[in-house]
Amino acid sequence: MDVQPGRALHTALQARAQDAAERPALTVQQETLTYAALDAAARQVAAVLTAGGRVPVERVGVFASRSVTAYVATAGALYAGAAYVPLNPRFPVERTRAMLRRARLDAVVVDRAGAALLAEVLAGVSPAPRVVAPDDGVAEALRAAGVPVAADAAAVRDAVPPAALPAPLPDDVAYVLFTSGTTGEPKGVAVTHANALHFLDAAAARYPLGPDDRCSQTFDQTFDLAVFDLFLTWSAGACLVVPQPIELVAPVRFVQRHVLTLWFSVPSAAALAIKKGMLQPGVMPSLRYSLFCGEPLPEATARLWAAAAPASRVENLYGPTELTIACLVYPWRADDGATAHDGEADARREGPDGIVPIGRPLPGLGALVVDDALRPVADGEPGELLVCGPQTTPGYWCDPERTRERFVDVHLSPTRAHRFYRTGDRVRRLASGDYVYIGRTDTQIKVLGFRVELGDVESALLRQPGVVQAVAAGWPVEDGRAAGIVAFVSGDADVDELPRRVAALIPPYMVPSRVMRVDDMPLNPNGKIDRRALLVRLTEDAVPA
Amino acid sequence: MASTLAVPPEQVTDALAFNAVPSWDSVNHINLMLAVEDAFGVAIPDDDIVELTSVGAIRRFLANTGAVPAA
Repeated sequence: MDVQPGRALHTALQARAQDAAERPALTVQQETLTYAALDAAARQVAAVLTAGGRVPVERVGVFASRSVTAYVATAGALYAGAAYVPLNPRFPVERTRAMLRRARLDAVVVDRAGAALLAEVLAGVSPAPRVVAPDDGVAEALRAAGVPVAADAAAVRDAVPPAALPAPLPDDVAYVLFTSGTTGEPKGVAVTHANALHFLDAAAARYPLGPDDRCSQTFDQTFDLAVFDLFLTWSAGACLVVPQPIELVAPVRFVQRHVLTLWFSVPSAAALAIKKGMLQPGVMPSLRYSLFCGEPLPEATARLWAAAAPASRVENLYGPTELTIACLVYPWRADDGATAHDGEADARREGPDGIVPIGRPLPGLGALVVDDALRPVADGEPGELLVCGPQTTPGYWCDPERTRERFVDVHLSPTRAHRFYRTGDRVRRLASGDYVYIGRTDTQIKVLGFRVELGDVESALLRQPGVVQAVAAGWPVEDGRAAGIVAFVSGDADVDELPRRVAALIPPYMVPSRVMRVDDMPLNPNGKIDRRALLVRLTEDAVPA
Repeated sequence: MASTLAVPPEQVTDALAFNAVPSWDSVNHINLMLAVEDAFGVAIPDDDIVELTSVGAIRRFLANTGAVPAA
């Protein structure tokens, strides 16, 4: 890999603490931290994690969300030479516990929200990770709940950072993220410093930012697009501005209030603004970059957003976690598809149903469209997208079997094989060289940009007493995006109770908004349950008011 | 509200809040705001959309606008 030794995901942040010390690095609600303050706080967390540099740590959980502590802990874990593992306090306790067990954490840093759930999360976890609680009063509450705390607020404040911080190697793991797994067990993806730096270098060249830029942080940290938010912003000495969850329903207002210059979110956030009539022409003059990723971007959304942010470049990014943040990008242009019969515009224009293409691979990456036998298909033919290059991650955390399934060697010449990741996304390559997303080769869907394996939802339903069969589907689907999930079950379970019950097992965005009882599951000619036929029943049946 | 949030009517109390049930997420928050606008003939300004995060707050907003009598 072409990353120079000694350079890690957080190296640029440490450099900005020297050359932009008093510039704002982070704004969370009413609190703003300068680069000097963020760096100092991260060094103190690193100091307690490593006992002053004496104890190596490999993986540190960050059980925190959208708080100053969440960002300080992320940087602090990296400063300690560890990989960070983001855990969301909004996820069900049982799921967080499963992630924590799988990740085998050395330590966990909690904020107030995480601390409220920590005793329950740690129940039965052995050996328990060391707990660091930098927020005032949190350690006392944890101890009262029977959770031993290795470092409280005073210990973190008084910690003396080691003179030299550990320097991770390029192939060391920088973070482990857990995504939905088909069997109901979340799967971890380990991403190296070299993987992340390759993406960040490409992004910095494409979106040159400076100290006057103000960037959104819309993505949950359990979502790898947050790595773009944090580390692209901090490598440029710009300011990261963190909305609270409710503020994401009104993105225009947030951009205006904080005079943002870069917006990056799932297209669903823009769709909300459109739905409420907020996306009026010229309302976001401060934006220089408007980036979307995580789910299909409708052409109409790109057009309305571009009109609302007339000084802004609008780009559609694409990439699964396994390929590190984003690996393809499409620069949307106002003339895209405007003249459907114009040759040049037509060649560039959107994919099916007015969906913006996912573009071309970033520099240094390769893409291939293949059939079921992994043989390349002709240009224009649909097939599965495979991507290779320095952003291809080592694989799934402690899961060599699944890694072998999805990370495959493909011989592009008789003598040379490349390691590709099978995305499971069906695409087509246009004559222009851009790729368009068509759908999935399996039952994975996106809900508000979050990856959902429908098998994960079905597995949670099948664990409920009285459920004999369970099928989940994305519903309703608008502009190629699922706004939620519907489920069909057979058996005598109380269907009205099921959403509440499975909410204890799966994250909120996976919980079906509606569960229908179906006593005769329709089968397709292969003898499998026919999802399409079930969805037809949904539209045929009267939807309860 | 119960139908927009897909919860039993008895669960719709002043304490019910954004993110407290899986169905009251960002998408359904906008749906809820639109449903309230339609049902009560009011326009909810952008600044209020991020403040009306509980049934109680929505009830007070409607009382203040005169759309419903104060409790």
